[in-house]
Parts: sequence; C-alpha cells; structure tokens
Amino acid sequence: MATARLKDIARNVLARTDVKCLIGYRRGSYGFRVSPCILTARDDVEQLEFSPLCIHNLASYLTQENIGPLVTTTDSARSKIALLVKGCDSKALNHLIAERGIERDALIIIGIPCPGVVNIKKLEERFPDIVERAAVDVKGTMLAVTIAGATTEVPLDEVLADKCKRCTHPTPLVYDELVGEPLPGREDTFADVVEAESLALEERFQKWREQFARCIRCYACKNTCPLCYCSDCALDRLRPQLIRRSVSVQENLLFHVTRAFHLAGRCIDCGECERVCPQGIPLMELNRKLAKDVKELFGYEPGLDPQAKPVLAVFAPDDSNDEIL
Amino acid sequence: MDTAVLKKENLTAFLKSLQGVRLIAPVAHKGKTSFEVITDPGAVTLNLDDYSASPKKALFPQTETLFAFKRERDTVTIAPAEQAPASVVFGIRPCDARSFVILDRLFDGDFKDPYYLNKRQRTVLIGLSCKEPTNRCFCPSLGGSPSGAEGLDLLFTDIGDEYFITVITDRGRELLEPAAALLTQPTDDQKNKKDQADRAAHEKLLRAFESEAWLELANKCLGCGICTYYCPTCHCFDIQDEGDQVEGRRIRVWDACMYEEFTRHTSGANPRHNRAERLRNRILHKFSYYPRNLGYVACVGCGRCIELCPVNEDIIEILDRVRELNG
Repeated sequence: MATARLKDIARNVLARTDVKCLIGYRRGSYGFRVSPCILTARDDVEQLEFSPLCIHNLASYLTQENIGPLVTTTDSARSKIALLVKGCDSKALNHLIAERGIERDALIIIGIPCPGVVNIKKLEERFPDIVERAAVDVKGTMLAVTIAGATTEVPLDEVLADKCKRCTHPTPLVYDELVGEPLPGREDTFADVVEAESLALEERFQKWREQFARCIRCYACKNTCPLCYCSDCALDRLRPQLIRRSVSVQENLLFHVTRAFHLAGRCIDCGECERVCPQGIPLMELNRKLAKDVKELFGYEPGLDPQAKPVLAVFAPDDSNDEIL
Repeated sequence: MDTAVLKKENLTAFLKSLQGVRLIAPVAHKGKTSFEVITDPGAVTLNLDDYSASPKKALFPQTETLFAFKRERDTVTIAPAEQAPASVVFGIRPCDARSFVILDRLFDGDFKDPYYLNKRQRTVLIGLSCKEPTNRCFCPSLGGSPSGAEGLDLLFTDIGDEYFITVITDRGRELLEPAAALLTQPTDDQKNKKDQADRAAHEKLLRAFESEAWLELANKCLGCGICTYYCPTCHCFDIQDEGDQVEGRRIRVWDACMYEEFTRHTSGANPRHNRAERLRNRILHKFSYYPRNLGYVACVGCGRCIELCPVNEDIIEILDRVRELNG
C-alpha cells in the first residue's frame, strides 16, 4: 500500500543524521482540509498521508527564508530537507535547481505519481459544512468520498483542479524515491489561453481592471509561489517605491502585471497562486498566457530539466533581437 | 416599538426608505460577496454563510486619506480629508457587529481616533441573525451568539416569509420611522418563529474548542495577509505619504502583523523575524494583550481565518494547543 511505503521511506529519511526535516502532508483540522506538516522525529511519520486532498505545493517551503526560516533544528550537520512532491511540484524543484535557487544535494525528494488533486471549493460545495474529517480516494474515473463511514462516488473530472485536467507530468520528473507506479500525462492545448486571447484588447483590459479592483493585496499569491522568492522584493521596497501601498486598481494592476512578467518562463503551472487567492482572481490566466508565449517564441518550458538554461536568464549571442525596438 | 415585522418582498422598499444616507450592504460580484456602497437596493445579496469580507472597511477602510497636501511656490496648503456621509450598514452578521464593539475599545480609547469615530457616530448598524452558522463558526466560545445584538442598532431575523426586526437603540428606532407603512406588529406565531430560528442556529454551534492538539504551530504559515485582512477585529495600519514633491496625500492603509516587514526596523533588525514569533503575537494580541489592556477578547468567532487560510492554520487548533501548554 502506497501510504505504508511512504511512511517507511519517511521513517528511514528521518533516521538519517544529515536530515533537518521532512515536509509532507497530514490530515487537517476539519472536513476536506489537509495541512502541510514539517516533521523532525521518526515517530511523527504516522501522521503522514497522501490523497487528492494534498493540494499544496510543498516546494514553496524551500524558498521562504525571506518570510523567516523554518524552525527545526540547530544542528548544522543536519543540512538536508526531505519533501514530498507531485508531478507539478517537481517541476518547481527542477526550475529552482536550474536557476540555482536551491541545491539539488540539499534535497531528498520523495516523488508521488499523482492522479490529480481536487478543487476543495468544488468538493465543499457538493458536501457542505462537513466538520468531521472526510477521506477521498481515486477509483478510476470516480472519486470515492467517505464522510462518517458513508462513501459516495462523484465523477473525478467534476471536482478535479483545473491544472490537473491539463497535467502533462503527473509523475515527478526528479526524485530520490518514487512511491507508486508512473502515470501517463494528459495534453495541454492551452485552450483556456486561446479563448482568453479571443477577447479584444479593450475587453481584456476591462476584464482585468475589474479583477484587480477586487485584490486586497494580502500577498498570498506571492508568498505561496515557490518561484517568487527574491530576498528583497522590489515590489516591497519603500525607496524607491515602485508600487504604492494604497490599495487601488492602478497599484494592484502594477503589482500583478509585474509579478506575472517575472514569472514568464519560470511559472510551472502548479496553480497555487490562484488556489490561495481569497478573492477568487483567476491569476493563472495571466501566467499561462505568458507560458504559452514563451513556449511559442522560444520553444521553452520551465521545470522539465534541472540542467536547462532558464530561457530569460541567459545571453545568447545569436539571438535575433527582433523584439528590441 | 421594540419589535416589528417586514415582509421579505418589501425589503427593497424598506432600503429605499432610507433617504439621505449612504447605504452599505452585501452585494455579490463574480461569486464573492462583499460590503459595498449600494446604489440599487435591489442588488443587495443577503448571503451570510459565504465567507465574504467583513464590513470592517465601512468604518475602517483599507486605504483612507487622512489629508491632502499641495505646494504652490512657498506655501503648502493642507486640505482635510472629505468626511464620509451619514451611512447605514445593512446585513451585518452578529459576530461582525461585536467586532465594532471591540474596535471601539481601541479607536475610542486613550487616543480618540477621529477618522474612525466620525464614521462610527454617523453610521447606523443593522444586523441579520445567522440562520446557518458554518462548520468554521465558534462565536459562542467568545461570548457571542448567532442572534446577538451587541453593537447593533437594529437586528433582522429571517423567519420565513418575513424579517422579524428587533429594535436595539433609539437610532435604530428613528431609522424605522419613514418605513412605518411597511411594518406590522409581530403576531404570537411570528414571535415563536423568531425564537425557533435563534435556537436552531445555536444548535449548529457545538464544535467550539474541541479539536486535536497539533504539532507545529507556525512553520507552515506562509506569512500572507489573508487572516488579518479578513478578520473583523484586526486593526493595525501603516501611514504613508503618497504623491510627489508638489502634491499628494497622507493615507493610512491596513497592515498585517503576519508580514515579515511589519516589525522590521530601519536598521534591518527584526524583533519578530520568525513566523512563530509573528503567529504567537497575532494569537496573544487577540486572546491576551487586548483583553488585558482593553477588557475584550479581540476575536468574535466568525471563522473567516479558518475558512480562508491556504495551509489550514486553524485558530481553534492553535488555542487548543496553547491551552494544553498552559496545563
């Protein structure tokens, strides 16, 4: 059984003297909620679980020194961090390794082939106000939902997160241990972006003005993004103050557009920014538009190869420079 | 008149009777409900179990101009901020209404905050009893109630085809006067329905503090501002001058203690560098410092932070764990 093997691996990892902590998932405080957990002791591994409720991209925790270090151990010999990754999460690791944001050697990667994670909001709409812990399990094309001992099956595609419906790499691309059998990927046709592109420029601008007017600048999108990890974010600075602290559509727009451009050729489509947005702003539409452009212009997709040269971070003498005015 | 009944079909007409005041009420926009200034009373959405933003911003806007300044040659003119018009906030959950009582302790405390108090004095608060508290709600643990009246001027309760109106203050009573033709005296049956509605909501709220202890309190926190910005009692703000050398304005804007920058000193040192220190501060501010200094627990049990936290940081779990630590 996959969970048993996961726990065995985790127990062995935490027994090592060079490991600082293991970042995984444990059951959450109620209903369908699962919580990220940062374990340090072998006995803790009993808490670990993995299911389509494990929505978070745990790679985010590797790059958050600016938020404050993870408090685990003071033993400097314990330098390695172990973590669980799904296919999409592993692309974040690959890209972080490629752009030297993290060292491959500092990681112990436990990969889990992922049949897709659920959109918790959709599940909570179908099963509202569940207090007791609910469990879910993929059964072919169905999702078995167990609440208080009673199991109901719902079509998986109806509650799956959007990103999973177009997931090209459900099996992690980089790992030290793989729990379970590799799974085939789906195709990503960027149909959503093509549709968004069909809007006239003026309509597009109006649409995003309305979306950004609702942003409350809580920075959850920025803080959860595994690739948004500058130790000194230009958008936070007071001198020069590139973006004012007042919350208005102009400042919000500048924040989001700057962030989206900084993620061009870097965003690996984990969808965490959009998932965490409390205002329901469809941020992935922006990121995916840029991902599609980068793919078409440079034939580049981030996160597939840890040895890749990040496309917008390299100087190519033979670049045609067509885009430069 | 201490109680009255309003037919639901007359709600829009009632809201239209509020002449000469600015109406702030929940409206739905792209699947999210928030308290906004209303021009069309027919658009009001009373969707209370949706975790919409709290009405805090009606009295304490996220960004607020304190004054504007303009330089001409050698003189600088300072223009005070425009005063908000007299307002009615309609559709407030009883937990959120209590948050105003809690905020009063601070903004009407040792220092009288003119910006908040001006709006507070000119705003009538109309509540709507919670019919369906959610699985994240824990207001009774904090002294509240789904049909609580604290902080309100009027309380509406859904009793089926009508709203049962309880008058709480004279301001509330005066507000009903222009709408007298729309109101009737409650019958015994309607009074019974009101009592039943109150009891039914209470029975849904048994979860309270019963929850398993947890291991790591703060490591999983992403340091974003969701919990603070959605919290109806969080009130920390920053003050900034925005503009250029010729003209601009001084604003205050919400700030969040969960941001690393919140306590960063000019020197670069930060007394709350770790997320654990920041989380501890947020919890203790609500449950220890505020009660000690101002006599109120600064949490109303609305459950928004539990619902919206991206990493399942659950304030009930935290309090359980803290209680265990205290023995």
